[in-house]
Amino acid sequence: MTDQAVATRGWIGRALPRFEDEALLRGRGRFIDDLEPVPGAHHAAIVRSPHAHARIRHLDVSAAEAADGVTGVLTGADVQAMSRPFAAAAPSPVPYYAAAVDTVRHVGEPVAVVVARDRYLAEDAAARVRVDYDPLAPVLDARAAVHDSDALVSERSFHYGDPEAAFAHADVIVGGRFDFPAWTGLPLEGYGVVADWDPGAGTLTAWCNFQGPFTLHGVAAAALGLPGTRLRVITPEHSGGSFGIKSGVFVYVALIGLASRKLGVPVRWTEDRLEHLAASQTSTGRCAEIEGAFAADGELLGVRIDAIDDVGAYLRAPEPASMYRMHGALTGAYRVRNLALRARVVLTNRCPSALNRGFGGPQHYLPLEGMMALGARRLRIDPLRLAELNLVRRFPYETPSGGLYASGDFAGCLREARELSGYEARREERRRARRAGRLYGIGVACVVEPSISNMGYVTLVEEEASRGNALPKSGNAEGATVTINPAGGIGVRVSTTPQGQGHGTVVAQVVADALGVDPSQVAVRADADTSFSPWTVASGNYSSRFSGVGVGAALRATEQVAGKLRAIAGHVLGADADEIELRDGVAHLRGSGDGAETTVSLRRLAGMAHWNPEGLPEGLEPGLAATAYYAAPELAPPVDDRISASTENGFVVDIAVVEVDRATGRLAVIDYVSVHDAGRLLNPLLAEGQVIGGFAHGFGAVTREAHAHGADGELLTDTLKDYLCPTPADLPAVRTAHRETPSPLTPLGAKGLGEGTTMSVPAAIHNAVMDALHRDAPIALPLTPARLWELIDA
Amino acid sequence: MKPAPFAYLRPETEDEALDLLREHGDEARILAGGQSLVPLMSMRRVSPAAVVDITRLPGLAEVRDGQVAGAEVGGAEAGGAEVGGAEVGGTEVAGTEVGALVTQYGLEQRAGIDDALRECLPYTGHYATRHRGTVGGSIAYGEPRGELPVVLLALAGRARVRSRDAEREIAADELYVGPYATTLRADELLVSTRWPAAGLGRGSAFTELALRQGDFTLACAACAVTVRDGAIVAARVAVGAVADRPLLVGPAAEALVADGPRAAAAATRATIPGYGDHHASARYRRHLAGELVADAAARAIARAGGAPMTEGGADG
Amino acid sequence: MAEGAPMAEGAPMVERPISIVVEVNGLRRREHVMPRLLLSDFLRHRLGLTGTHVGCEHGVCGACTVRVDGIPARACLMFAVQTDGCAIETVEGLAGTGELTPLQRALHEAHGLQCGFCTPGILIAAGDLLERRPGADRAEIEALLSGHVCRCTGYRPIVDAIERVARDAAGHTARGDHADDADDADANGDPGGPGDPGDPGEAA
Repeated sequence: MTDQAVATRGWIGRALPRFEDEALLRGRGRFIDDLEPVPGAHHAAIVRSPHAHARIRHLDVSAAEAADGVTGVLTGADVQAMSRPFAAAAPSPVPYYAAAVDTVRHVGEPVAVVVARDRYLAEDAAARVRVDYDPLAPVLDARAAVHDSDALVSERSFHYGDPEAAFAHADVIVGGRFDFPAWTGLPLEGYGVVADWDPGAGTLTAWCNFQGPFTLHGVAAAALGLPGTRLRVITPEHSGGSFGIKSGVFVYVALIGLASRKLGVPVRWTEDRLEHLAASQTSTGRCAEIEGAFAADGELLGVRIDAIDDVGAYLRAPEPASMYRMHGALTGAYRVRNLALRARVVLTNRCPSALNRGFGGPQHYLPLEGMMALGARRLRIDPLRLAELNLVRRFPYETPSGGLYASGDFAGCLREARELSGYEARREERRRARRAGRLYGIGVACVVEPSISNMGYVTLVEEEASRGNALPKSGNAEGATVTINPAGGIGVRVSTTPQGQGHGTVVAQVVADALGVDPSQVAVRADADTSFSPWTVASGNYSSRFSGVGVGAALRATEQVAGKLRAIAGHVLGADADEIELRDGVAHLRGSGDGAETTVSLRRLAGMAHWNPEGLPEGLEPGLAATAYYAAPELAPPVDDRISASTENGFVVDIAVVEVDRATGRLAVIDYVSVHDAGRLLNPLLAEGQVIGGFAHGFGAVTREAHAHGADGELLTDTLKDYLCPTPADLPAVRTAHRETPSPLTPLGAKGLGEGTTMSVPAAIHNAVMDALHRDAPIALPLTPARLWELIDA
Repeated sequence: MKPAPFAYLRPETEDEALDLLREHGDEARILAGGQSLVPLMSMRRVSPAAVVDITRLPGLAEVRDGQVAGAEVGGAEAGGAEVGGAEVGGTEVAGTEVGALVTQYGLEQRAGIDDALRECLPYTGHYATRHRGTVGGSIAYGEPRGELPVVLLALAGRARVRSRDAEREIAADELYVGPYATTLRADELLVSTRWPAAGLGRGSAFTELALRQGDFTLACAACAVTVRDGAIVAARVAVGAVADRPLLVGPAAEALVADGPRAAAAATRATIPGYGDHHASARYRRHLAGELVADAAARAIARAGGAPMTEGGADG
Repeated sequence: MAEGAPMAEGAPMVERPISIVVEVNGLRRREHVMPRLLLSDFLRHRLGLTGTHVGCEHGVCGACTVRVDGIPARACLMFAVQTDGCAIETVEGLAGTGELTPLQRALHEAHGLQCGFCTPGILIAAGDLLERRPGADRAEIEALLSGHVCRCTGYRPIVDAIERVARDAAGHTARGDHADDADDADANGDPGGPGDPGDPGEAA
């Protein structure tokens, strides 16, 4: 019913520009720092550690407390006394408080919070806080950290099929070390929190640009010793980007909340860029060794991965999830059944990691696709051909580690990418270029893009036996409320907390089709208020879940309201509800003309529902509103260490053509093709925006973006003059194409697509550069001119 | 990230400004475009007690073409190179005098300025910062990765400075003494810079490689040459972002005169110390500086009407 | 001479506000400001013009770009006190209460904004560029945007949108002034090119 009804109308699938834009273009966005949700909030400045690792010998805040305009100071000792350590998905050898107690473990770690009348005075006073540190040796090398029991958070091994036999029978084994340094999506707006502790009610209200997952609401509430209902989190209508990074705002909900509680005033804090770069959140750094066993004809027989994730100074929830997010897709696009994974997670003295666009995907595909490139080179088979030989061809396909690829056309995408790139002509150009002594290379990446994460995947960090005792975790659910007011106005509320993705426009398209109205008539709010919004523990903006579960919940709720409209219309028109069709803002009696006796307007139906409950069909509730929840299917808890880690798995094939300048090491991307199968595209304009935006993040990570530390652990990338984002002149003109194999698992057939290119681009460009430089081994990221020239010169 | 308190002083005349500089000395910072100073203050890396805002001083935002009292390219001073003591031009050469408050963007839009100067300006910052950032500020700040100091060195330009008691000119060669350190005294105000222009038989060029255009460069180079009868008779070579200050590379100029751009590249690499950070090693920067010198030299020669000499010299 | 706080001698400096008069989006405002108050904070938190966003406070990201006396400026790199007597334009003044400007419309149609945080600075800077160089080409537009960090869009739709407005403007000019091909909107981007009214002193 749903699919058919939607297919016959037509807002879904249109490249509709966004309703969100106008306010933003006029400078009328409502971002956290724009808001004054409570009167008289005081301003916080945070005193932070300049050291990567040090013992705090002495902390003296008396001069700060005495300074002009100062309300008071919250110290690490206060934090320890007033809260509990944050829980994560695994036990940690180091308790994690919102501020350091006696040891600082990363540059920028909060040591004290100074609250004053305004931010200028707060910073003046913060400068007068005296901290005596005993610097300690920092741990920055994840490979060394695995030998330290205080640093090793978890270690697990997984075996699927018979990898030993596969390697024993291999004709060719290739592999190498592929390290992915920590980088950041670097949202242009930093964190912001306004915290208001009500001592009478014992509640904390926190306005903040948090993005979910709302599991972290529970983590913050537990740290504050509050039942969930006493921590009210309200997100502003607009948020200046996140890319996962703003999941970490929950830490500051606790910290600023405690400052408000201690000082008895509302407190606001807006993170500045130096704070953001040093201490907000980064991607998870990974050191991976991979080996691939191939038969001489190119068949991939087995894969071994030894991965170490560097989660930074503390285990910040949902870490160590980065290690397991890709678990269902460990074998990527290939049919290989034999797989071994050793998964270790360590603490170091870097900024804590957690969500960042691609979450685990870029780190996984760099080695997996790098291994394929090395295999192709050794086997003397063209890399695109080698991929093609090994692609999954029959769907649904269950991966050895438990993932479900419900639908797809991997081979079709690959063919399309080959044609779009002009692959044969590129190879010919490469031959000519090489004869002329130029460093010209072609790289391929085939990427399975998971979306809609299974809330249970993180439990893989525990041994099967110990998992049994806890409440099982599975699925991914979202809620939505649809209301029609007495004048016929349609309002929708979802809790997907978008940070620029345009959820409001897409929900309006979906609801417009289901109710037969114009989407401009649908007012959508996707910001969350944990007191009023329909939400679940899985709510939020991550794992490209919106087009599946966000839309699913909105559709469910709309269908309930539509059912009621049909019932009332049928009653008015003397027909059955299922004879009623909603279109153009009017309920029509199916199969009749548009005369007055056979139609009734939506507005009139709404009026009846609100004003005339006596006139409603017997047994029908008055009012026109519904709240509904939708849970994505095929997301059971893990069994035998196998898990369907994500409901959907889209597909991406990228072909990169590059040239490296011999004289300067400068990398030029000559051509880049990216072909996607993300199921049905709900709004192609927005879909392209996600693909190109995701490309820029992947491109940044592979070419220049990485956090760098000096020998003493000092942060070298501490300003935007040193942490370098790509500019438009650097970014190549990506050529994209979309194939739409509808998902059988999501309500409208969509698969997530917000992260695929961030996963594929580092691998494709890295492979192209290996090809250009004739390398048989991986190259460390980022691929800066200096690094490439040094390889050329060696 | 908010600046510490300071006293804001806005003189209306140059003399008043000079009085204030004398009075406050090292405690004061001069605010011109503010594009480097203000972020340092916001990060509290500098917290001057007083800020002397010179942006409204009359007469400092003018550009004048004409004769500037500058050394010619080459000549006897250190860092230049010439053939057989050839006298190339007099002590007065055609050029441009740029008031301290002329913005990078404003100068960029001006016709008839020297080629190297014109080429470096788009790299000095981003569109909006170049509209505020001043040429005088860039020269006086002495950023080791800055572009304008490198070009001033290559062109043998000069800075005109005033204090309450005196006015003097500082040759570019005498200006930079360390990281962000110049020979300007705390009571002195840079009022203009003088840039000899390319003329008959003279050519210049600038080039750089940056990871983000408008932000710090990996390395940059400027060359100025004089060509007579198809041969280079005098040259100056300067590089940036490879040391703790912008550098004039005398041996590179000599090599350029003797053996051409590739030789200049090799001499550059052999001479400069190099500077390594997380973006690039010192070894790479030395290499890159050589490449950039060769490129700038070749283009400067072509502009001067000389033969390209690409085969000359050995690659280092 | 304007004067702020007296010189400190050991003791913490006592700040004294300075009276300034500015015209913001056509409205005259008289305010007292501390010398150290950044223009960005003045606009956002004193005048309530929160459309000017703060993304880095060190001049790189471009989100806070406004115009002061017709010249683009990073509001985080100026003190409010410096703008005494000046006219300031912010994103709120572009369309005012009227229709969106062609550039705003073009960004909307091209999906040139996602989170929208960088958008105000880009609107101001690109508007300024198109005023000075109406037929600006793609390379100029890309160079302009290197001073504006956008993390959502990958830039391409922003460049497309600005280029479209530039082409439309050039098309108009060509049709109005010449009989030749309206497509030939070659502004060639030569920064040394003559005839450009680029002198900031005259650009108010």
